[in-house]
Amino acid sequence: MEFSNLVILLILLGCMAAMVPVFMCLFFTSVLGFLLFTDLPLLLLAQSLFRSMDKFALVVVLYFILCGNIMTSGAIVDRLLKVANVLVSWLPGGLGMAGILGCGLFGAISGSTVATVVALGGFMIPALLENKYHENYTIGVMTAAPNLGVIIPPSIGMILYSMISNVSLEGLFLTGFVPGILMMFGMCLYTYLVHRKKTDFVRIPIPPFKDVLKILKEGFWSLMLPVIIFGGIFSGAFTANEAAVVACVYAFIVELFIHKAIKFKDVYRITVSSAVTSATLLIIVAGATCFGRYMTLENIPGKITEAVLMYIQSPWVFLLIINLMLVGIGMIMDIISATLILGPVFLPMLAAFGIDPMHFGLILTVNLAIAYCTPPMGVSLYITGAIANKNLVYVSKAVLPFIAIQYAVLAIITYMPGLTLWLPRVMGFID
Amino acid sequence: MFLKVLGILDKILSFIESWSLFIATMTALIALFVNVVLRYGFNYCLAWSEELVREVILITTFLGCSAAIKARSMIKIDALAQIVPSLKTPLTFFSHFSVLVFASMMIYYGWQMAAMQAATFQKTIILEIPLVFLYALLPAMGIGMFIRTIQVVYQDIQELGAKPDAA
Repeated sequence: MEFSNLVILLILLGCMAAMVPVFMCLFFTSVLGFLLFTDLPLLLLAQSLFRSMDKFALVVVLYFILCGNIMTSGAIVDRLLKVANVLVSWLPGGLGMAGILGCGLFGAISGSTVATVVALGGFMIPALLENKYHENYTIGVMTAAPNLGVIIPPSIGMILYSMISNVSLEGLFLTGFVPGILMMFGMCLYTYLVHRKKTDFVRIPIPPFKDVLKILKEGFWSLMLPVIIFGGIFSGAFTANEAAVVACVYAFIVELFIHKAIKFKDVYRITVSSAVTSATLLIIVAGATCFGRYMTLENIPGKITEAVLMYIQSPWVFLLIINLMLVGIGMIMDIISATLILGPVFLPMLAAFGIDPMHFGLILTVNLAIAYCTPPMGVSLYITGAIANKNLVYVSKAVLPFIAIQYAVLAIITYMPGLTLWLPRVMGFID
Repeated sequence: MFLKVLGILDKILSFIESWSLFIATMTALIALFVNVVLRYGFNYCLAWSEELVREVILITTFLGCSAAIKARSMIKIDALAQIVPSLKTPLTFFSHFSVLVFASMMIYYGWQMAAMQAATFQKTIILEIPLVFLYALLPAMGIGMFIRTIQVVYQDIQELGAKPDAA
């Protein structure tokens, strides 16, 4: 490795270790790179920072965050969980399955793991414990299942990857359904196998058909939200940006006038907090743009590609190494930062190995999502630990069977690209 | 006196940040929604909606950063502080210092860029908004972040001072 690149890497890692906000780590590294290794003025970086935000496509992040916040503040999450409950809670381990299905449904509207952990974990963990589900199982399932929030589209990680790679966002969204459904099925099957012979938990009786209909009727408006988002995007009626906006307007109308779960004064609070959350994510895009500018000037991605190709020729080995690396990075870095920093580094290598950028985008998203709850550093472990008042070792052990299932799904989608790419191909998003 | 000044600045900043974020987000939401309705209902498109949305992203991101400092919601990696808890306090103050440096850079370079736009009278293409207003968001973000960081540092010092008493 060249001396200048080593210095830059050390500055970046040093800033990150020193708890400097991620976007500033990227900005300061670019500033020092400009000062030490180029003759260019710093004003160029400030210009890049400003210009990077002058993009229409970024609006989708703001409005999907707003949509998720409206749901968590109102009654949509509650209704979705009731629907999930009535559909599967009568099965052995049914309430656990309802939690998994709820995470899947919530994931089909929200784009973040943390939002899903907080929204569903806080509700489902006490409910499962009340029904005498084993604490170990309860904590494990409610730590790992919220990953579906990122994997099942719309996903903020996918949105940002599509921006940096110019891959069709609609196509990338479509790839997320297969791993999402496989993970839901795998976790539900595990739940069934664990609980089928147990009698020490409360088995909920099959609800009468009248009750099922009542809950489905109550949950109708909530269930229509994913229908509007995906129906709109994949029928070609809206772009992803417009789908996010229509979803927000719909969610506001449903919560204000139909569910009456939020008041007009809440609209102000929800909107402001969503704009702040969006700012904390989008400013990383600005930092990554500055860093990307420096990397391009120094041809760093090209040099890394050359170095990698010298030692690795097989796409299988390349994907294995990338996956292992991403697990390590994803444990300590959030999905947004990791996507924006690593995406531009890996993208130039894909053509050499014949890997489809859309397939790689999915691997990146799924891997970073799972890493988020992988012991010992995954952030979700700490959040669930705080909700359930358990230490890190306990949560880490509890989550192991579930992340084993998720890593198995990751291996399948990594080495069977056709399994995930057929859907965007059929819909015309890939040639 | 210092505390009083910080309190007044906090109120002014909170008012400006919150209402700017609310109005900007809602305006773009309504414009984009109306655009969809007009396209399907009346076969007509608002030419300015895309430009407005781009400006809203600039406003929400740059002003939102200032609000995020107050809310301590900036994304950072705290792995080292979790592994070595005794490092948490010095790293937190180093992080605050880095924000002050960044904010100062934004004030300096943002001012330069805004001055350039003011001198050349450039405007956006459709809405014809003078670009100086948009570029002024950078120094505005810098000022907001600087004041917010001072507030946060003050809070942290207060908490640090209170800890031995509590023990």
